[in-house]
Amino acid sequence: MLTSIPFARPQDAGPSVAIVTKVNRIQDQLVKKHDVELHMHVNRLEIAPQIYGIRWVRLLFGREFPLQDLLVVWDALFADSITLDLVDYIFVAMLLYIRDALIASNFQTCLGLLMHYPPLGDINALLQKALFLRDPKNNPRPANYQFQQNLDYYKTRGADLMNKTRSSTKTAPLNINKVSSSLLSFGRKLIAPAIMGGSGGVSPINSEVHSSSSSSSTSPASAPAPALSHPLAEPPSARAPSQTQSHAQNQHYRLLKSESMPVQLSKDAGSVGASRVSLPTPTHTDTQGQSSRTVSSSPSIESLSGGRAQSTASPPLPPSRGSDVSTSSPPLSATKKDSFFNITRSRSHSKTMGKKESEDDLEAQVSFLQGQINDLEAMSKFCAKMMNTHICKIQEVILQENLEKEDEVLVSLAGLKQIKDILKGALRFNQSQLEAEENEEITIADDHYTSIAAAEKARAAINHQGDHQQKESSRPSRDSDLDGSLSTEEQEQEQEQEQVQEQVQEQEQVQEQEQATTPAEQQVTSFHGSEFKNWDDYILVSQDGDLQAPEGGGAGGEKASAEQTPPIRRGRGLVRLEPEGEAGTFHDPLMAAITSGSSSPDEGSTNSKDSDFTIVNPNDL
Amino acid sequence: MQNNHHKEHLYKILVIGDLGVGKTSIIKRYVHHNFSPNYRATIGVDFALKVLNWDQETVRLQLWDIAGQERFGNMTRVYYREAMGAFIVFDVTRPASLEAVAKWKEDLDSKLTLANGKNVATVLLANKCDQGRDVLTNNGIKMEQFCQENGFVGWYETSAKENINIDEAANCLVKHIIASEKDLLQSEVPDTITPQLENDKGGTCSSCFRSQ
Repeated sequence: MLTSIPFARPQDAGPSVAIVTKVNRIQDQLVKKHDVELHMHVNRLEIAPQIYGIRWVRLLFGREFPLQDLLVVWDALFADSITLDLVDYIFVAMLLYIRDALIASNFQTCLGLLMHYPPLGDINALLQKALFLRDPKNNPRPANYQFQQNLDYYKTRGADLMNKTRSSTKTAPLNINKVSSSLLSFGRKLIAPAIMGGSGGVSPINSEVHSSSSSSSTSPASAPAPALSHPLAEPPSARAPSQTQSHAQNQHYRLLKSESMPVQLSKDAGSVGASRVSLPTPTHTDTQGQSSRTVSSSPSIESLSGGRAQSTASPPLPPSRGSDVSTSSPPLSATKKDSFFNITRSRSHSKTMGKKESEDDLEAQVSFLQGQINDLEAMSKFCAKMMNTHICKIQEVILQENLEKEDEVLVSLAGLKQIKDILKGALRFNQSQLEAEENEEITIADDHYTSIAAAEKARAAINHQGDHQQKESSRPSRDSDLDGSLSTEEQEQEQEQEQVQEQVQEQEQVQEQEQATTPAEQQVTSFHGSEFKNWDDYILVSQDGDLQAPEGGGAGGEKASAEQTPPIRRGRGLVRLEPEGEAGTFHDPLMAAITSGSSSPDEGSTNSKDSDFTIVNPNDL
Repeated sequence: MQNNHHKEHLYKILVIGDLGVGKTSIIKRYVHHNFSPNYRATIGVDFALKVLNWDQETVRLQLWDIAGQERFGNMTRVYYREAMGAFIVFDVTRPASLEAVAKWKEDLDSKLTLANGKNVATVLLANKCDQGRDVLTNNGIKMEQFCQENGFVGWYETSAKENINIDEAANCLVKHIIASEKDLLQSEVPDTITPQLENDKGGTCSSCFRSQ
């Protein structure tokens, strides 16, 4: 043995074997334990851990992170234990951070990723991940924080993958972009108002946004200041992980052509509109036109209407709510279908370009879609977190105010919390269930408001067996009350936001739009939240309402629901003017889809509902 | 599958040699076209990619930059895997690094052979030639002899700093790699053809003949 290995001496074998043993143990045990798929992948590619791991371990990651981050890592390592056993878990956390990219990559790209570790957005997220991996019980679970393939990576990697997939991927992923561009922009805009809408001042919110989007954990145990100030100081890299990163991902293949994108990405949330302008896709130009036409439309409207403008020609009609629901949701699915057609088209197109290219193409698409999924996941996590903070805030205020209709607001808040849980993933959101429920709902939905009123009344009076007739009569006033109470809330929020706005002093018009419409959105959200909640109550409590609806209610119920909505909108209009109604109408399908579809009574009167609920669920991608 | 396009080759090339002889600098010069006077020890292994156009074909070189100190470990085998060629580098200002060349070559040949059992093409690089010609390399005949004795396909005086002979050395290595690859493919030919021959001669199989 020794003769065949001229340089190896017995005394040399000791330490080298030790480190090889260590990295092998990390890869074969820890990585396998925490990510079988990744373990299988590196094994399949036969990437021995000592190829990349020796440097990682020998220098305690000294070459893998920039100095600022490295100091944080070393602080963590040395403070943790004299045995430095956190090294193993940082090792694993590093692998997990780039696992999607690794799994989607071939041998060479994997080596590139491993041996030139991509820049990290938030080193603390990595450390928390490492701590969590070592001791899940005593450490908070950090949300999935994933490296998104970006331009920097390809730059450093040379022409490798880019060259291979150049011709085919340039066209194909552009189409994929469309699949979720509306979703992503929806998410971005959800996020953007949240940033602006916080009452606690700008900087804490911003930092919160950053830490939550990067570490995304609901409890950032020790998210220290350095990491926050440092990433914020470097817009392109630091901004990337949050709302703009999805965009960056989206833009990735376009970036192969133009590198101007990161600059746009580095702009604040307010510049979403600006970056949108720069997008070459017709979707976005349409969106832009629409948003300028209806100045104060809700952010989500824009994304939806973008899809609509592209797929169907039906313009948004704010006044007629019932028809809006029906027109606004099908286009969503239409958009999606359209974009999937695009994918298939591009695939078949790429087939003509040779198997190899199409393979690369597919590979790139897989990695791309994976990235999209991650984005959406992160988005919903983030939304959940922001919702949670706002709900808590609202709840506090309400409790302090001792409002007359406190119960109703709290019920709404409970509904919102449920939505939050769904977003967070704590509550299971099942597509098929949703559709099933939806179908059943057709007959009974007309009676929905009655039931809401009933449920609320029942709750308020602690009288579950109340007379239906009575409830029905009490319904309109109740609804308007509900609306009124929420309006006050909304006014408060608006004021808060205006304060924030003054603090920020970035008074771009887009921002103003988004800000102005934020409360609307929130109100709608809470409104539907209450419906959602009450719908559940309704099912549980007054089941007989179902039977009553088709019999006695019938057309009357339908009329009732049709009549019901306009007053609400009018009520809002007094306070908030038009955007309100629009926000309500256009927001419906999305909210409905998110909150499992049982929420909107109006949809009972729409015909094409089955096709409506395919969009928002990220799993669908 | 590649018929529509020009052929692509991907070769893994090792760059080995003693500590501080300039392996990383050579790669940096070759791939990134620059030079840094600062020394930064390579730890373990690094790698870089170089794309060449070679007779209307694309050649991708995966350059594995193996740290000089790794010869003391027992890990080079992992790094050598599936390499098609190698540079062994020494420093003309340090005779000891030339002495180590033979050891590196031996290490390489003992752990890495082509499918046909031959050693991979290896080019010897006498780096830092800008530092003044050394007695070692002054005698070209002696160096030729050294190459023959140790199985190098060629040797070059190089300078990463002054960009001397690096492209030439790489071209030489690629040329030999392509030649040895053809060699390899030809040696595989009989094996791959065998079933076709059997198909042709299917009727001559004794059992078939009997059944007919």
